[in-house]
Amino acid sequence: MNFQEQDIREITEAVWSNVLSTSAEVAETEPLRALAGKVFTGCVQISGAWEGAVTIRCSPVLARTVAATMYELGATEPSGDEVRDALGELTNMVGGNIKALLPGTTHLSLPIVAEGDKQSLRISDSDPVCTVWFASHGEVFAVTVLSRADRPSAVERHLHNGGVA
Amino acid sequence: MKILVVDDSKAMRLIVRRTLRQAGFADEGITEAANGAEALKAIRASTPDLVLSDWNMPEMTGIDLCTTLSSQGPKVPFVFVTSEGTPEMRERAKKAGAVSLIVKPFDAETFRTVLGPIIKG
Repeated sequence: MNFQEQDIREITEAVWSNVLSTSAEVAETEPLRALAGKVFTGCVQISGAWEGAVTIRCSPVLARTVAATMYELGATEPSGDEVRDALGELTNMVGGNIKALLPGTTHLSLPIVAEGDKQSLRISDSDPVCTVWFASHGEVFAVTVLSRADRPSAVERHLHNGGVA
Repeated sequence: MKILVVDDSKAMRLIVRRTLRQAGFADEGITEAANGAEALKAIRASTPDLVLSDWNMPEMTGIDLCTTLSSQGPKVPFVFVTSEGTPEMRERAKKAGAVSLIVKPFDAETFRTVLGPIIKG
């Protein structure tokens, strides 16, 4: 596990533990088929000295589960707005903590949440540089860091130097 | 004790309220606003004893809210609750007049440690 994966893991585990009072365990292998069908994607973009984005992709089941937990709904089904709000805030927390590790002055966007098949959300001019898969509530989800295609050097310099700016 | 919780995420406002309860702070005086502009109206209508505010929000950000409050008075203790805790942001928060900055995710112990002395005044 390199620096980047370890940071994503630690940040995500801390968010899941503190906010949802449950664990997020790293999935042993990339479950490519696990997110077949409809997928919820939360995304925050980072601009400035580092250009890129952080996404969380999960199944509708997991998105509803985390929303019900954050809204303390018990067995009541969360609304679409509640699901989008909850996943957006989780993405904001993970993205904000990843942003704090990056060199230079950067700005974090407000989160957006999209629904669709697993290929439907593309971040313009950005490519994944690291994805970590987790398991929680019997479902899997992915946290991905993407960098802008025209600004790869900043992130690569930072991450490949072990996080030293 | 009147505490105003400012965050564009309703889920996060609920979590902040829950954590305040877990930290031992009474829930009765807690009110909410969804962005800085809403918060400013609420504060002008009834000055709280403490503002807990997100940083990144639509309409009016937390840092703009903090700066506006500092320039207009009366002085309201202001604490950021945000996912971003870089030294640069802490410095900006301090310069804007904030008392402290709590990084999300947080727990009840953090709230007790940071907010306890402020609330005891």
